[in-house]
Amino acid sequence: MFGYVTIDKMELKFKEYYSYKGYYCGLCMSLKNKYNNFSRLTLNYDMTFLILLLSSLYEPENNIYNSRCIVHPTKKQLIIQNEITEYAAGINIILSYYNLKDNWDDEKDVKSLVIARMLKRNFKKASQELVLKSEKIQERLLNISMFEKQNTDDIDEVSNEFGHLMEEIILYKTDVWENTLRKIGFFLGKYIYLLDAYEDIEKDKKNNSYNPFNNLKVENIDKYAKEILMLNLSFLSEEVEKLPLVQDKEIIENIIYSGILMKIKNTSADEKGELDERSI
Amino acid sequence: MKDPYEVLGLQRGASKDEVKHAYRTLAKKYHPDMNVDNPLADLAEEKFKEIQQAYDDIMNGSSSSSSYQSNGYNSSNSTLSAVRQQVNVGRYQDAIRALNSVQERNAEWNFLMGVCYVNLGSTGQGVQFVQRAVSMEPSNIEYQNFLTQIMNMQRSYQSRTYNYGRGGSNSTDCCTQLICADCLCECLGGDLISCC
Repeated sequence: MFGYVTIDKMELKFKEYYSYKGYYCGLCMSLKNKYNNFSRLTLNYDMTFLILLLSSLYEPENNIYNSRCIVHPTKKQLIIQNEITEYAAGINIILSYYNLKDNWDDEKDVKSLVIARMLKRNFKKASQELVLKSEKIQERLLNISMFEKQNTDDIDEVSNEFGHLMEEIILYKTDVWENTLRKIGFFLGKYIYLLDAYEDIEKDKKNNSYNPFNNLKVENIDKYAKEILMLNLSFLSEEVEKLPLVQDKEIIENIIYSGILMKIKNTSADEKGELDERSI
Repeated sequence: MKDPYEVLGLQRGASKDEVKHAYRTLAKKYHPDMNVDNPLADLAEEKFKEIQQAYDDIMNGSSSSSSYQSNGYNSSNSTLSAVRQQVNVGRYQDAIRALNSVQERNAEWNFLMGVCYVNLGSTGQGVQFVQRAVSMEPSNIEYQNFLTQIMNMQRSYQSRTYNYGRGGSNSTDCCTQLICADCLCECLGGDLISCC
């Protein structure tokens, strides 16, 4: 995945930041322990958000400890792990593997092929454990690549597929929260797909690659893109607010109301202009 | 029906955070997993369901959610009234198929199309359809309400992001929010503050 769903570090309290890092390092440790050191390369913030949200909703028993690791050899890090971390680690491997394979098939990116090869054994292990999820992820990714090859100008059609993919991923259990969780996953996935496309508008234009925004018949693409990204986030926050989230609520709000927007701000053309003016 | 706030042991009008805390505490207490050996397990389960229902009622009742009920609204023709029935039971794909075969694309047609698109998650296009419906028939309250719901939702998200890290809402922000809201309305074809 892409790492768009991040915290706004400056606005977090220390204790909140350490909890967040605890979940992040927890995912990293689960990737290492359950799979191997190599699979830690797939670590990302988007999945950490899912862990945070689902842990807050279900409050599973946590395993909390301090440990050293390759990335932080000198200072012991806080690690928070639970059953959701384990689940997310498996999903993360499946998703990364498909993504890398896709990069190789589409762009002949050799680096992706090499990493995909190295991940293959872990991928098999994870998709055996999460058969249904793995099948659904693959189906949605196939749909996306079909729409992209058709060069569709329906930006909803293609981004909805990634929404449905995240819907499957976030649905850790089917219970009374299913409807709300599905919607959260959907709007989150759709946002991630759209933001990724938004970031690549210029690059894709140059390389003549598919980008749903470049197929739109609107005057000001930048303005339109920002509008639909914000609309999508409004729907997302509306659904997140429906869950009875108490544990780590401050971190989740930090992400939904600030962190998640940071990439739009960094990418958007006129914000950059504004910053330049300020620096003068 | 019992008052949902009462079920959660709260005063009417309690904040969402209070509702969430109360739900958590009670749901833990009465959760079937916690009462396996309890002779009153049946009673606990009933109570648990009641708590869940109360929580859902409060959260969905106050939300500006886009799900749609057409109670009390009549359609201009029989095809569109059949579409309304499909929309009511959540068969949005079928409804869109039926709509696509309709020749006359009036305000109601655009509205129903918009409702389907929004509910299927194609929010951008959905809002455009509803906007068209509103501009074709500005006096229609049903269309206007649906659009206002979405605009309110956008406005509330934008003001929360704006206020995040600024120590919450205060009186000066209120003006900014209004201006923000006005800009948003204008973006969507309406107007909140007519002089600017």
